[in-house]
Amino acid sequence: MLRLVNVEVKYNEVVLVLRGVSIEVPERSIVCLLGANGAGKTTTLKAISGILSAESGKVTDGFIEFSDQRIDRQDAERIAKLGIFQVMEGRRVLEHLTVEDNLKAGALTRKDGKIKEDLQKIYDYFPRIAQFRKKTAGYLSGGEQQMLVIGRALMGNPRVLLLDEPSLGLSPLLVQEIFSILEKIFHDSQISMLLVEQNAGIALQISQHGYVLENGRVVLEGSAEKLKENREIQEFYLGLSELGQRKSYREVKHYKRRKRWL
Amino acid sequence: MRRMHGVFNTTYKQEAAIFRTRFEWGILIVLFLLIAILPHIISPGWFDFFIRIGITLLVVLGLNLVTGFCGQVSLGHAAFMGWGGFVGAILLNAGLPFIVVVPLAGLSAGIAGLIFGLPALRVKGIYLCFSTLAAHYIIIFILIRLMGGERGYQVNPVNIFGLAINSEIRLYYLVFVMVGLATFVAKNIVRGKAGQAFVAVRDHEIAADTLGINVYYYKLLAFFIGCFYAGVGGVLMVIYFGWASVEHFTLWNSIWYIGMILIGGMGSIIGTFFGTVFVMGVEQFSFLLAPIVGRTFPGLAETAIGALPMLIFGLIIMLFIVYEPHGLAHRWEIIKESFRRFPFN
Amino acid sequence: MNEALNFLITGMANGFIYSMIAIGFTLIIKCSRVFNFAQGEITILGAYIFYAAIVQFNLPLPIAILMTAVAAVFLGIMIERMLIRPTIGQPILSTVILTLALGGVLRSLMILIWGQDLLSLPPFFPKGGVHLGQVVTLSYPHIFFFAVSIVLIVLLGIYYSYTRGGLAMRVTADDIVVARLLGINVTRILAMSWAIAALIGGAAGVLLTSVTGIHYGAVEVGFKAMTVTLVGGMESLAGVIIMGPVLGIIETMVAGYIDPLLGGSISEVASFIILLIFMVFRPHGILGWKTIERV
Repeated sequence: MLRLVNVEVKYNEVVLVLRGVSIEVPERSIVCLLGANGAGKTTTLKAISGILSAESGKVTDGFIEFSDQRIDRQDAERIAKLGIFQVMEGRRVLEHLTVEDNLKAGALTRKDGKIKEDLQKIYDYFPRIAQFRKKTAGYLSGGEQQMLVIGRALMGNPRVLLLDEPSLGLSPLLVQEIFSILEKIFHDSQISMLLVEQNAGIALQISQHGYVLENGRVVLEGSAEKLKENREIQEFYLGLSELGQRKSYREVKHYKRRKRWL
Repeated sequence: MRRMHGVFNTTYKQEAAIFRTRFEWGILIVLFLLIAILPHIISPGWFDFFIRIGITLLVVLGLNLVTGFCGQVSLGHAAFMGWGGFVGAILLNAGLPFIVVVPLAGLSAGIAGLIFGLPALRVKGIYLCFSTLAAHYIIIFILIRLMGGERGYQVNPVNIFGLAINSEIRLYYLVFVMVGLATFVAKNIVRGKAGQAFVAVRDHEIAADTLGINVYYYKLLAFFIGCFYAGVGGVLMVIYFGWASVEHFTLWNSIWYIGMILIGGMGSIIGTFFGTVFVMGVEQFSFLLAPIVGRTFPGLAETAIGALPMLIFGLIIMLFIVYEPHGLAHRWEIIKESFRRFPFN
Repeated sequence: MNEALNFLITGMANGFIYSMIAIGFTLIIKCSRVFNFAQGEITILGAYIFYAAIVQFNLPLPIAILMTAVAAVFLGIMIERMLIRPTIGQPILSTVILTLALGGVLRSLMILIWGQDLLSLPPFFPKGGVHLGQVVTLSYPHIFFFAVSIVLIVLLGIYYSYTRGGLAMRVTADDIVVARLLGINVTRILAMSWAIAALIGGAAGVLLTSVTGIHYGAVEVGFKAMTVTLVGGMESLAGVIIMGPVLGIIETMVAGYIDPLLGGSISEVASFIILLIFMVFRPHGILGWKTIERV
């Protein structure tokens, strides 16, 4: 339902970041986008949600479609109203507002009256933040803020959730907690998610399908199972060397071992 | 320091040099010659303009050190200039020689800077803007009430080791000698430990603190030096006009000075020069324009000369902030770069 | 005793004028996070435009009011779109100088167009006022400012805190990118805020100058209003309504009691001294938002 077809993105008309990326996020599925730093993952999300222009970026080739409607030229506000909500990198809570106001802010595009119920639903999903209802959001810890922004995006009743590195800066235990909540949400509501992650392990755990981005190109795609078994992924993204064993740094001669997909 | 392509530093001496390449020395010499012969090739009516440029350069150099390099906004700079001017006037009238008065006046302005710069230790950003704004008003108030600022003081022409500075052309040279000295000192501060510390404080105070830089000390130092410069400029100003009065040191002067470093480029010595010359040129241009405006719109004749410079300056500043926020120095770097890359620019 | 009471009431009444002008500052901070130094000039410009409509063009009162309102709204929207929006990410100093320069431009335009003489508007308020006992008279303009300020602040306060529109404004002020991602029409919100701020400013200017006469020097009242905003807390409307009268009282008291002692008018700088003290010891004012810095 969300399709990127041969998308090319440039910043300041000079810096080419995405070089013909084609990605598809079908209905009711979780798709992950893996890649190292600087691969262009965040740019992909920004291209979808429409805030590239704020950073002098532009989609210069290809197009982005959502339910057969072109969205690559539209304003971020309209894209959000179509049901695509992004959770930005680094959380970006509304610092001076309370937790509850943050969540209510997520629902500003909605005209129906069920906001109170959904508010309670979010508190049920994220019990940790329920106790902080009236607290100023800026003072919450990293993990709590991450939960808050996910909840805020969910309050908008999105059809697609774009998640940018939700595990960034969080402890492994908290990452597990958040991702299991994401799985629960997915099973309950079946919204689609496009998950950008550096933590390939946990991303592949909850996704059905995945893409690997390197230097602005998609170099590998497939179902999550296939990706997990792929040698290159195992070695370069999951930290396992051949046949699932731990890497011995005495034997690292990675300059001899090239990735086989290019 | 930014060096040109192909220029590599292989010794410490080269690394630390202010003028590294022959090109830079060349430009410097040309500049010196230009300043030296200028009075002899322009009509005497223009002396006023250049003398004022020189004085303003001193003041704005100081401002760039505080605000451009160290990031501490000072919206009250003209007040410190006034402080130095008044103290200087009092001391000169008491008979002290120029050589002694200048450092003393500068010192007193610097100390005033320390006191009114104390808020910088507690607040940043817009709150510091307001503190310095309030400081400006308070200092001017003090000058008026306690130092007879409304009337003003007469200041007699000075004598340096017997050489009487009693003509504009001599004052011109005096001013520019001091500008040269001040620039040399400023460049040395900037490339030395203090300058590096300033920039660190400006860019990320907390990180600088964790690196062991004494943020409080360097902020106060920046204010001290910046206001010292302003004070010296103030002394020269009252000597030039022969009269010390607060009307030269208003809030609008402060804003013009900030405008000069914004347009010229904050945190850049050469930017100071660009900005000051540009803005003062604009001001002069609007003075010339005023009578023409007065003739075309007869009703505006009297008011035009007062309001026009502010109008033009305001518009230009707004244009710069919107379209060229890094100032002329940045544009200059881009121009140099594109020349270097020719024909690949 | 009587004298003190007089100072108290007069000061308070003066203060509400500052409050009304200060609302303009607060509104803009609440949406664009920029301190609009030109608010004082916008206030007086509103007065000049009204003067032009009523006296120079001889338009009937309702049309004149409409024209002034339209001009103010237009001015607000133009400033936001042309000056504030393009400079959103820039350091504080740039935006400070931007609005200061704007103020200068407006001021010089006012001087050029309307000259430096004191102009007077036809008076709206009947002469005299309400007598409280035998000591104090509250003139009608004072009462009016008091009433209008309180009403405006209450309405605005309710709007910001309890309505969805107000929430959208708060979100926009906090993080403009997030606001857009949440579907908020940021363009409309910013334009609206500036338009309202300009409108309130212009209205305050018209009312003020109907009593004092129009002169470009009146923009100084903007600085007093600035202190009210800052000491009360930049983002706080409640702060504005409290600090306005407080500052007014302090000024009048200082002028009444301390000035004769010092043989000079320290009351001019009184507001700046207060500003400095607050900026150093409690920069976010009495009720403002504290800056949250997580390292």
